Amino acid sequence: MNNTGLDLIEAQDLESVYMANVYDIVAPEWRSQFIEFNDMICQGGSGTLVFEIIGLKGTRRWMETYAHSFDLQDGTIGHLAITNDISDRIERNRKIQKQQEALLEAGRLTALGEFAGGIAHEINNPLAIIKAKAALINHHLKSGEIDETYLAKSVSDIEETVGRISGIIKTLKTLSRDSTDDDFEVSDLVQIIEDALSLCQERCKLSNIQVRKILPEALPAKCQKVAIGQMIMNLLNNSHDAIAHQKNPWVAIELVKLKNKVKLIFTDSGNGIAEEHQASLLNPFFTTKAPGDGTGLGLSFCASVVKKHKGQLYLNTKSKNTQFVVEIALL
Amino acid sequence: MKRVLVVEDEPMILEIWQELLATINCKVDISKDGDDGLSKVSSDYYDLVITDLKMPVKDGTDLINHLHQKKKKSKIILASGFEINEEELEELKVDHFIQKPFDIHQELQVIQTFLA
Repeated sequence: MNNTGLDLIEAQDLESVYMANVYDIVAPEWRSQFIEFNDMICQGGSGTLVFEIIGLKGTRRWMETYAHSFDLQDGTIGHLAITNDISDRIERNRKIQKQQEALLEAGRLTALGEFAGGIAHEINNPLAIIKAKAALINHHLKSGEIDETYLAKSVSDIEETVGRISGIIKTLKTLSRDSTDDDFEVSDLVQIIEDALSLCQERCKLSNIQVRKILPEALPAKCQKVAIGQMIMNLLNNSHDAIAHQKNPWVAIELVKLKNKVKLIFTDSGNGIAEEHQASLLNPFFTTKAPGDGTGLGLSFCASVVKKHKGQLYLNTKSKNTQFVVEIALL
Repeated sequence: MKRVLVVEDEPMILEIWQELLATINCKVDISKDGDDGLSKVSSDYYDLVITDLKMPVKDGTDLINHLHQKKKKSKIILASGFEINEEELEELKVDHFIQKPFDIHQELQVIQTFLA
């Protein structure tokens, strides 16, 4: 073993590790794999193994061994192994993965942020009802001219309106949380679509976008329902931004059940995606929106959700209008 | 008697306006969307038009623009749950803006001064 090797295992000199068993520095959780790999090489095989070692002073390092065996002239098997310290590479990959996760998180919340204005309006209207009804009750009470029927109706109107607001908040809370590690559960896709739409409809209304739904009564599927809802919001958000300036903009959401998968078809009144942009659509940070208007994370978030559901997301270039199709396997 | 038109797609808010306006001396007409509101202001004169901004079919902007184009002397009040900035309000040239949720007594006072 050379000095670099000694440094790696944190040994002072060669003497201090003389006759020591190499298995002892392999981290316990990797030991059986390491022994198995070693046996395989000794029997004439070759291959690569990534494992961790724990130096004599306790430092953990990631190692990668390439080993190759060959027949010696005397009929015995010899082997050559090269082991590299790949701790830096592993650490870099880990950082990249973390950043990618952070990106997805940002993508997940982007659409929700875009719809926030609409949501404020969605809440301000029922608040106006509650505030005015309560003030009117108060006014009648003060003047002493209140009849029971009027009071009962106003109170039940207020109750109903409060229910409307809590519904919005519940959906908002659900659709803003991290859904990455959610369990796959059987949920009704139609309900998921309706919930996501309830948060988007005000913004669509603001831009006079007509929302068409072609949905079955119910379609239960095993999925991460929050992630699917967030994906729907992202797709709607993209449609919204692309068509809001049009004269008679519309969005259509269709859900179709096929033999062992479901198809979610998003069509809007846009004229498709320019050919030069098609290949980059799913790349993080790719956007055709003006700086500040889009993060370019929406579709890459959608793609990650679809991938988790063993499905696919693609642009249907054969459609006359802009059409994205999401296919999800029925598990 | 002064005439008021309320254009609002939220039935309960429409109901509230009717109840509020019934307490002052005026004749109230209602519209549930911008399109109906537009045909009402085209055929009749209103001293005051209270309109929501975002409604199905035609929205409040269309109605307000129509009133300006036809040089109608109606006072215009815009009531919306959306926050609207000064610039946008100036562009719309409305006489008063009501941000929902609103104080009924305060707004009723404003309406009364417009109808005086």
